[in-house]
Amino acid sequence: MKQQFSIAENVFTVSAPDDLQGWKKLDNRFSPFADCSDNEPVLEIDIKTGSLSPEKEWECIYSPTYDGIGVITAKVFLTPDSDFVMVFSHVGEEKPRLWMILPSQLNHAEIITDREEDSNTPYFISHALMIAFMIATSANGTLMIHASSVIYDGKAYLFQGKSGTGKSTHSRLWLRNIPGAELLNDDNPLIRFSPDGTAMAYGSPWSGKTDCYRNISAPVGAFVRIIRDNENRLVPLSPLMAYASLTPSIFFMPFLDDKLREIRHKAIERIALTVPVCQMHCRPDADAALTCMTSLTKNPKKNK
Amino acid sequence: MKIKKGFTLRKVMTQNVILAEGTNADSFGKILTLNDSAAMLWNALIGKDFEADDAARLLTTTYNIPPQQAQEDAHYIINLMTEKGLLDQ
Repeated sequence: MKQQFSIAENVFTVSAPDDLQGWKKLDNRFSPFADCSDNEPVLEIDIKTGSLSPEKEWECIYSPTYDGIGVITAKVFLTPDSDFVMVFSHVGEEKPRLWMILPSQLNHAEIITDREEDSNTPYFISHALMIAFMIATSANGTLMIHASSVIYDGKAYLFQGKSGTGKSTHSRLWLRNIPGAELLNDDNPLIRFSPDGTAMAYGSPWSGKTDCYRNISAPVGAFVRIIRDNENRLVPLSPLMAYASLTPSIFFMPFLDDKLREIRHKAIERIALTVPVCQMHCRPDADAALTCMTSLTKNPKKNK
Repeated sequence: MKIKKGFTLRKVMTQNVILAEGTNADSFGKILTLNDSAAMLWNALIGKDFEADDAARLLTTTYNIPPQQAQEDAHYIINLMTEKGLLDQ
C-alpha cells in the first residue's frame, strides 16, 4: 500500500507490503503526518522484504565509530552506478538487519528488510526512514536537530545537549512547572525557515523513547544548550558561539557532497544570526525551568 | 606534516572558523578562529605533506614579508595548530 505524508512541509510517500508488521507497528508515529495534498513528493520510499549481499565493486565510504549515541549503526557503500547503499545493524553486531539504496539524486529510497521480522524491525525501518527523509530534505534547507522541544506561549524552545545531559528532564520540568507548556518533540524536531524568514520548529515521527509524534509547528523562541551545574543561570551566546553550539546538534551525513554541506552551513548561520541561542546552566529542579523561561521571555535577546 | 582529516575551514559570518564536521558527538562545538594569513595557509596546505619552510615560503610570496619574519610566523601558526590537535606530524 502506498501512503503519503508531510513532515515540516516536505511531502513524501511510503510504499510497503500490506503484511509487513514492522511498518504497521509504526502507524502511531506516522499517521499524524498523513497527507492528501497534490504537492509533489520530495522523496518516494519503497519498503520491500528480502536481503542484499555486498558486492565486490562496492566501495565502503563510511564506517561509523561508536559514539555512544543510539543502538543502530550503518555502514555506507558507494556502488559503481553512484548509488549509496546503507547497511544497518545493531551496534556491536556484524549481521546486517536492513539495507537502504539511495540513488545519487537522493529523492528515492529503497528499503530492504529481512523477511524474518522481529521486535526490532520497526526500529530499523523507522531509523532508515529518518535518514532517507533527512538526506532528501537537506537540499531545501530542512534541518533535523537533536533536541527536546516544548511549545510555550506560541513559541518553540529547543533544549540541546549530549545524550544523558538532561534535555528531556528539562522539558519535563517546563511541563510540570509552567502552565501552558506542552511537548513538541522529545528527540528529533525539524527546523525550517518559512518564506517570510521565520525559523520554524516542527514535530516529527522520531521522538526518542517518548511517544510524542505531533504534527504541529511553532516559530522558534530560542535554542538552549543544557549544561549541568549547581546553579540556574541562562547565558546568551554571540552569533559565532551560537553557530558553534548549534552545529554539533544538527544531524549530518558525512558522505554527502559539498553542496549539501554548504546549504546546511548557511541555514545554521542564518539561525545563529536571527534566533536567540543560549546556554542554560542548571540543576534538575523546578527553579531551572522557571529561571530559563523567565530569562528567555522577559529579556528576549536577539543575537544581532 | 599534514592537516588532519575531518576538519573544515569555513567563513562563519565574517570569521575564518575551523570546525570538526560530522562527529555527531553533540558536545559544545570546539571552534578555532584563524586570521586571514593562517586561513590562507590552511587552504594552500590542506591535503598536502608540508614542512615549516613551505608555509614560510607561502607567507613570503603572498604577503611580501621578509623571510625571517615569515619563518617566525610559520612556526607560530604551526605550533598553534599542533597544540590544537589539527596536525599529523
